[in-house]
Amino acid sequence: MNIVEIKDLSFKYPEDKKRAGFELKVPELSLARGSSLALFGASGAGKSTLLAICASLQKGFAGSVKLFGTQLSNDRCGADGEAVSRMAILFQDAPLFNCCVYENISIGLQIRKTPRAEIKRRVDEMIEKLNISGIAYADAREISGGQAKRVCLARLLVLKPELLFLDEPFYSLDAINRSQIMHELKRLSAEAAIALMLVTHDKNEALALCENLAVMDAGAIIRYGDIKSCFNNPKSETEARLLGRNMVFYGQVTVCSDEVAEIECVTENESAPLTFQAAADYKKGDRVCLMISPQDLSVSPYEGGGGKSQASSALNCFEGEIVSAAHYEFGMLLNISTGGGFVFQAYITSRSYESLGLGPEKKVKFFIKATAVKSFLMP
Amino acid sequence: MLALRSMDIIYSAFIKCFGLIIGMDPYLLEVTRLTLVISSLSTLASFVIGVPAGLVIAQSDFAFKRLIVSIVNAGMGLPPVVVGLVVALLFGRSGVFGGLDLLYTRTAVFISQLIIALPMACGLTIAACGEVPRTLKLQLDSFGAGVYQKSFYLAREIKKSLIVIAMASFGSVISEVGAVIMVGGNILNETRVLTTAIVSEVRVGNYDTALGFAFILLALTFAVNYAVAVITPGKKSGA
Repeated sequence: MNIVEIKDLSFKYPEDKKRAGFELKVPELSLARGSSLALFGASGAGKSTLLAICASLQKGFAGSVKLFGTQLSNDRCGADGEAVSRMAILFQDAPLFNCCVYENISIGLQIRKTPRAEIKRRVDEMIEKLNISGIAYADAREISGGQAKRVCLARLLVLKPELLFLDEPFYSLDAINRSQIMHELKRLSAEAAIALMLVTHDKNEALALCENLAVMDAGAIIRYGDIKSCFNNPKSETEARLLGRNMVFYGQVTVCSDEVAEIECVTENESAPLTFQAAADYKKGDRVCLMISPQDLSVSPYEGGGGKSQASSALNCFEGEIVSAAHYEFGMLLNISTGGGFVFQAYITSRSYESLGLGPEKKVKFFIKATAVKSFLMP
Repeated sequence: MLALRSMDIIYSAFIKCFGLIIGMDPYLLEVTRLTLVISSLSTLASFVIGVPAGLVIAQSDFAFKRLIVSIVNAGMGLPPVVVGLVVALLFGRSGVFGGLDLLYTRTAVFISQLIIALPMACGLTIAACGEVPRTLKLQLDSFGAGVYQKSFYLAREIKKSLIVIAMASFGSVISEVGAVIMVGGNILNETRVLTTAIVSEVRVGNYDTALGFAFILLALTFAVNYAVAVITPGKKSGA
């Protein structure tokens, strides 16, 4: 049974609002009981607006939005009492009320007129589960960002929601807190069979928490499906770039045999083509778009010789020069130019970067497996 | 020569002021008592009406909200003399409420002070609610809070601002003179308050007595401001 059902939804911000002119259009979207969906896309794609509409916090839409089978009204925010009482929403900025942590956690229950003894039982239980008993009576404005997020999460989970809306909930957290809270959320939502609708532009968050993905761009859902399938097989350039496949090339199939297509690509200056091997079944002459992720490049120092390395099973082997190297969260991001306007990006660990003696202006060889070269037929 | 004369007056005023206070002068006590009673009541009434109105306006989204907020904000800068004139016209013998015979009474003074303080209580409440994070208000919506519940939790969020609002309203009405003199008539033991007493003492040339009243008025204003400073140390956002 679907707990969120959208049909022919459209929404435009009023002329006097900051985002006037933006239009959200969702012909169809649903979320089944106990399942999870990530709304994924760049900032301004309409993810949070869609989430707010589903959570009965944004009015003025056209079309049909059903929450737990109840048609959401276009009246004032939070007017859909019965449906709203079965969901909860976790915001990006962890807003806390100007009182102690314990009081903060119990506010939702107080508003829903839960008996006092039941409030105490549920709050005590949640404080224990989220391991925040040490700050239970601390001033909520004095606790750290990670603790504040836990308190917000506790405040929602005590309500025993059937559906949890998450609006970029880990945005302001450091890596350790993000990982811990993400896992706590995953565990607690699985325990209570809570459905999740997550707004994010972080691939790891989406993969960790959700089984389905809706990729959004400019107010529309451009892809919907199983999360792994969406991330592994983008169907358009926009989708590919949004899903982190930074390298997109266009080319023509020259040979295709044994489910491996040889594709000749040129950049805009068309000076020196590069030939890629992609695991795909095309006909000679087909025009295709290729997409490669920086994680799929394997880099080694250049030691002379050319062509494919015999020591590697990767069908694509190129030579190039490192034009820049920058630190990122888990290592280094290299920009490698092969000439002819082709620039590749590769993520490698700092340890590999140092042990291989890599650096700017160093010549390198890099390998890409044919199965890592994702492609689709151009219209 | 003139400076020395002024210093003499101020010195004499100090002496007289302390003499009046220590001697529990009935005139001073009555004027001060009346000032405190009328100003406190008008502040209380403006708070009781203005704060809930401000809370409801702040959280509601209705057709003429901007117009209403603009009117309230304009009301905060309303010239007291204009308020006095309107109240005098309304409650004068030929006014709409002339039959009530309220002009030159304490009630008229109370009404004019209420009109001056009400937009301040309402407007500052709206402004304080604007400082509460949007997501906190949305969180209340998501809990299914109704208008009254939301008003209660919003008021709790801005509780320190509410104290400041009460003090600011009190400060504005206690120091008001134009409207009070126009609708109260400055009648001894009936509508004479500290500000109008200063005016009448200056008129008859009793500068020292006038300064004595001025010191008491300043002391009260200072006490109010000091109380605000003590009550709201390290004021945080939304509070």
